[in-house]
Amino acid sequence: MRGRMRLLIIWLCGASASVPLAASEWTLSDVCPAGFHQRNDACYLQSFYNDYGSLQESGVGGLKTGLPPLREGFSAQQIDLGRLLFFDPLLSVDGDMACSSCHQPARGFSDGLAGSAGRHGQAMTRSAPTLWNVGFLRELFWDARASSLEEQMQGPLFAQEEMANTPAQLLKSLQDNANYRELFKQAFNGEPLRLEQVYTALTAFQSSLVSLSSRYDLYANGFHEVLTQPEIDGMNVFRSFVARCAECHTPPLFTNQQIAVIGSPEPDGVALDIGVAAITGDESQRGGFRVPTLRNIELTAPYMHSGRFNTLRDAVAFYTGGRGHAVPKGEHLSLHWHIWEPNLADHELDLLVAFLKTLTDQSFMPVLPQKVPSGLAPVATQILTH
Amino acid sequence: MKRLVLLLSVFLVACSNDNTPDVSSDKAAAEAVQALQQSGSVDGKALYAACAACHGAQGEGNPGLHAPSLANQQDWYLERQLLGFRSGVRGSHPEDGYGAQMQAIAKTLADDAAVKAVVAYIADFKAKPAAKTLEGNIKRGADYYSNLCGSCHGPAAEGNEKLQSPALAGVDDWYLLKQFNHFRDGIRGADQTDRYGYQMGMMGKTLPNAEIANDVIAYIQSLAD
Amino acid sequence: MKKIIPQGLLWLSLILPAPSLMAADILVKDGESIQGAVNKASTGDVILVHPGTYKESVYVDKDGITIRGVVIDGEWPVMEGEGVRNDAILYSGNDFTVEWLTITHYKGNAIMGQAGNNFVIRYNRVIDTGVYGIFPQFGKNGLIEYNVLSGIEDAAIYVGMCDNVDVRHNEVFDNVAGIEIENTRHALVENNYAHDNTAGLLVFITPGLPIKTTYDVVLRNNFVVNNNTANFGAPGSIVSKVPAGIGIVVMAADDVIVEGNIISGNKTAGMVVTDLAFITDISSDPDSEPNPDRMVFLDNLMFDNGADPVADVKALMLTQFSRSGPDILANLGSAQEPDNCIINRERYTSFGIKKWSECERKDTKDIVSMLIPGGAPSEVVTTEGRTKLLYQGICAGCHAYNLRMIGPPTLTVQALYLNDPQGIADYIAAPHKVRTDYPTMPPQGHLSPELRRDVAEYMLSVTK
Repeated sequence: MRGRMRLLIIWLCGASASVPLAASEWTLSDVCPAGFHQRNDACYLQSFYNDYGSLQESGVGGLKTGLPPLREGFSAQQIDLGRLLFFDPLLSVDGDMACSSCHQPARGFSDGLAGSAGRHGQAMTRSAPTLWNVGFLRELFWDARASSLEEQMQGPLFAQEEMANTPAQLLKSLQDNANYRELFKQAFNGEPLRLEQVYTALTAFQSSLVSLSSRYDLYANGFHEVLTQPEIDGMNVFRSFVARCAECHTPPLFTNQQIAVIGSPEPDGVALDIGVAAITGDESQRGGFRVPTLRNIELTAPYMHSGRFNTLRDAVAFYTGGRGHAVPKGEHLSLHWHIWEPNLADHELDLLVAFLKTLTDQSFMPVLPQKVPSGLAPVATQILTH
Repeated sequence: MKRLVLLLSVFLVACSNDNTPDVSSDKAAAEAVQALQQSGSVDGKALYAACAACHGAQGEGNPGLHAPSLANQQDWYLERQLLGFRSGVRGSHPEDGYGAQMQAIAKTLADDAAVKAVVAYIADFKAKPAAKTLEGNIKRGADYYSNLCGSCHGPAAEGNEKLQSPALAGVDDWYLLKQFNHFRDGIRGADQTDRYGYQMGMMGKTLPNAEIANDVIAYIQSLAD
Repeated sequence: MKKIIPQGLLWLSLILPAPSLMAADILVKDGESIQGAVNKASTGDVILVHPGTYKESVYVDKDGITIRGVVIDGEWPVMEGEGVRNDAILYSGNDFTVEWLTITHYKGNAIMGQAGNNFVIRYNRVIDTGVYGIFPQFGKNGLIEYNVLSGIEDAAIYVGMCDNVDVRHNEVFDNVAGIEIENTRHALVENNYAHDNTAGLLVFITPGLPIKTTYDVVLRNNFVVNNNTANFGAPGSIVSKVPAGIGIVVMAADDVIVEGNIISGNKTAGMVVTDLAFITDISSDPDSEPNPDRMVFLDNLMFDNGADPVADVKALMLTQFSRSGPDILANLGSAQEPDNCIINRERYTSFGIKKWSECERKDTKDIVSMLIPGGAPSEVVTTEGRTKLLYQGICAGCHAYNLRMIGPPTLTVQALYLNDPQGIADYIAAPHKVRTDYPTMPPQGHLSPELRRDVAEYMLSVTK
């Protein structure tokens, strides 16, 4: 009995201890990442929003509204393994691209480019979305063609114009690496290394990238004094039924996770990207894209699916330019009803930008590895200093 | 009957051996006080001569006299402790017999300069981890250490001067255990004016039982090598 | 400490002086600011707005606030948007009440809710104001009664993405849409007077919204009369596609009961039941079920409908050798299926209801209200609860009580900073690296010195 009590005490008090005993150079952390608490050897988010509900459990609403379901419950070790994989160029066929090539921590887990750079630096057509809060999303890619992170990541991993790997080659390169063999054992109970474990670990890490402690969040939870008057004024424009930003970029995630046809322009000389319609064949979704989150939007210029706008000011000005003003001649798009003629004043656009910057929060930035198990140079792990 | 004897002897050990200095220890301490009173030197080496009888010529300590090794303790920490003995924040509790000895000795040092001098002399000793005398569950000790101790004493028990948390690795395990028990029992660090001692007094109450305290110290000992 | 105050208790506290809440009256007079009063108010307070003209927008991000106009000798407090201000009143807090205001000339909405539960909107006059008159969104449990609204270019009363709402005793006229129940469940629309709009009452699903369903709606004892105003909705809006002259539209909504209404003088049709194809040129949403199912049409008084139908309806009716529109038009697909029902069908002119079955239900006496007895449970955060919320929302993300997480355990912080909350408050404003094996804490300098001190004191007092 006493032994069992003791075990219980150890489990209660010692479960998350990080033991610096390991002889091996590579040991996975058994501490959950920032914002997550350990329960039954799995990590669960703790946030301001945990105690709130939302209408029909939709995870959208107003200031004090519960979140949609998060991909959580991964072990600390799985999350930590995902962290190492994320930055390791071993995952690309040429050994020169990692997930972090396009999703750079220092750039809000985006890349600062209009179209991301693919294999051999080839320019792609769409802008890399931020990964902050990606674990809350039900659909992924600008055209919503993936319904899980596991499914999504197999796009860039195996696309010829991106990381260009093959499933067999990826599995082999990990199995051939003694460090990874050991780390996968640590993360997956000693099971033999499989590709599904790679997807699980990367999903676990990406889902741990949570940003819900911005100054906006403090306001939303009753700490009104943390925003300046222009920022509050900007929030009021944002949620007004004139600008209508909050109708689609709905708190608390600042996306309602729907498809919207807004008619934002391509770069000059580039043909219209028909978005969701290319996947579904439904003409009414022509030019439709997933509504992106605005969390950490300050860090992820340029903006829109094609990166057409370099500044937040330009991006917000698009919405007051007139319904369909940037739709190419001869195109018909079934524009979203909230795209209208709000006639926002210049100073209101400035206020919107001021408000959007209050959504910046990187306090749960993960530790960026200075080396990765493959021995290759980790990608984009330097911190930018401005 | 056997158990009673065992219990009694444990009790005696706890009472007498642990906190009440024996004759030889008392004699050594008295000689140290006398030596310091007579010397009046400000030279560290000369001053240390009075310490060496118990703590050893190279600060290696003497478990027989309950004198811990000094060679593995940091100079800023030794200085703070000597000043603490001098001011009476350490070694005043009636159950801290050895502390009382040290308090008497420290108070015979002429001034703060003398304290600095003797500490500077000790600082030049070659660190040599004290020998292991305790057995414990090192894995369990590591878990508790990491959760509760490491955030101040450092991941390798190397100490953290910014937090005024001394290095523990290499210090005699029997001494660490005794001091931990003192903190836990309010024999040391019970006085709020002893800011850092009081901090440890609070932490001394956070380990669930004596067995786990023993494990933690066994773990700390394992870090010394 | 954070308290979860049951809704009923909160309402009670508005009437009875509750010592823990100390509700106060805050007076606002002409020339003063309603927003200023809101900023000063706390849970349970009543803001009394005296007659005068208030040229401002008011945002309520607190729980348990009442804004009540004071009408003296027929003089009302008027919120004047002058055609430049966005919305008159926008609330996010729970347990919000707004009443006795005249609101006019705003660009956006007169009264908009964003996720506030347990709202009460009554005795307001809304005239010639922007997009929607009254628009609670994402709210649970609300009452909208005794409001008069006119000249709205979309819906006068728009219940969008809500649950459990009663809309009763309102007059809506000269709007594009009178009363809309959209992507909402459990709504009772009763005893309203909807006249001279483009369409009177609309119950429907808009595709592409995050909440996908409309069901369990009762339209009862309303006057739905002469809704023939030419559509002046904004291009692209859903209602801009609604033909003029319709009393009631039920589109894609399920389990709608229509009873006891007087529906007359609507020139296209008395009631249209249709699927989502009714609205064209909108991006489709595979998650929105497009068919109206299980409509229940009980006794209603219908006459003089369909005198001059729009072209599409006229073409349909010609197939039945009639030039007039019908009282009831079940348009295409599932709207004509027998899961819909009607009683005494011979009384009405109709199109497409031949397959409708005979209703088992004959009346709705059993349905009194859609409101939730005792109110929707809502987390009301009190002033005292703020610090705990801050600790749990920000600090506890990295600090557990007796375990190492990202930051050191709270126990050690308590030991290090005993009796020194200011030390914590100062440190967290600009943290520096103290521990080699812990990341540097993110700075919290955006918190005011008082907040930092409060949360530091809270951290020192935590016991588990």
